[in-house]
Amino acid sequence: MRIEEREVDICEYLKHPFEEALLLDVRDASVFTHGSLPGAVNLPLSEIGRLYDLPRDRKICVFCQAGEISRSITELLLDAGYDAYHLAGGYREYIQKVIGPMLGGETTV
Amino acid sequence: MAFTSEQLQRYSRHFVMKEIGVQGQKKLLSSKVLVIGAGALGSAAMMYLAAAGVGQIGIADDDRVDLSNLQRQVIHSTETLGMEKVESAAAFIRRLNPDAETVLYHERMTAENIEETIADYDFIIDATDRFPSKFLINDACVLAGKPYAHAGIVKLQGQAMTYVPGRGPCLRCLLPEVPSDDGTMTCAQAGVLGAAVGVLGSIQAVEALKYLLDAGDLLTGRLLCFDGLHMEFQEMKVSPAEDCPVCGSRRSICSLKENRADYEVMTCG
Repeated sequence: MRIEEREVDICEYLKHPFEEALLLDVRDASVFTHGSLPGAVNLPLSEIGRLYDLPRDRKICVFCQAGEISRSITELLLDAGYDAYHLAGGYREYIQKVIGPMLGGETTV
Repeated sequence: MAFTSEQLQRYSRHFVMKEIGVQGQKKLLSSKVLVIGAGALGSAAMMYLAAAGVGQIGIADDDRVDLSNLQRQVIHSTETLGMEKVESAAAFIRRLNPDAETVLYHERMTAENIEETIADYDFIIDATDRFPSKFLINDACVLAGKPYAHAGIVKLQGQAMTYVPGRGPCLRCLLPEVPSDDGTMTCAQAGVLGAAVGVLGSIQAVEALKYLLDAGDLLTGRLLCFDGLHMEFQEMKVSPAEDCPVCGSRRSICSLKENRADYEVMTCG
């Protein structure tokens, strides 16, 4: 399963999210506590050893700040047979394109 | 087969690199690199190959660990004095990374045994310290079509170049004849700084890993000259020599055994 087939723009995804999917935020815990996608679970890189403890019975959608690290994590999940997707663009794009307009101004993250 | 939890942690710094990632790490774990010489160059090269998760590391050396080695051959230790170098190196590798299996050759490479030895490997590292050995490795790799990393150093000045069949020159394109013993000094005579050798051995490991990962640009056709004293790197462009005795179109060296006089090492103490 190639990563390219499992990539979806984060904002597009949030318009039509999967039912019962696990949203995985792989940023540092300190960043996660400042805000993440609603319902997201945090698994920072420092805990990568626990990646394969994640449940296998549902889709997993992975994101990070910019979309680089999350891509690698998605590849690792696909390699172990998970039904995983990569949310390209990352949290930064979510803030700019989803939250920003809601607040009615420019937002930089 | 998926990675174990330990491997996820161990190679986490690789997984996040575009140049490596999941596929790259799997490639490394299934690769075989032969390091000829478990001395100073070999120490640095082996340590980093093992750390990176190269699945099989071949180690060839016929020597034992001596106290005078420890100034630069950092894979060995005071605890392994007197031990065969290949065993000493293997013990270090085992402690560093159990994913890296070692295959030991308790012998010096010669025209008799080198072809059979290198056959099994994806990449070879010339970690020897004298020219006849370097020419043996060069000729063997050219004839067998095996890529290898060349490096040599005395005092604080050294050089490195990478040979990949069909992609650039070999050592003989640069030096058609083996330099005579009077013209060159051994490390025992001239001295050498351990850390400087470490730089070159590390460069050899980087070249090997890049070759295996098919990443970046190798030192093919590029002689990297290192002056540790002034901390300068310079590059010399080297082209394949049309009349190279071993890789040229009209090669005169077709058999290692027939050419063995080139590879005989003069023992000068």
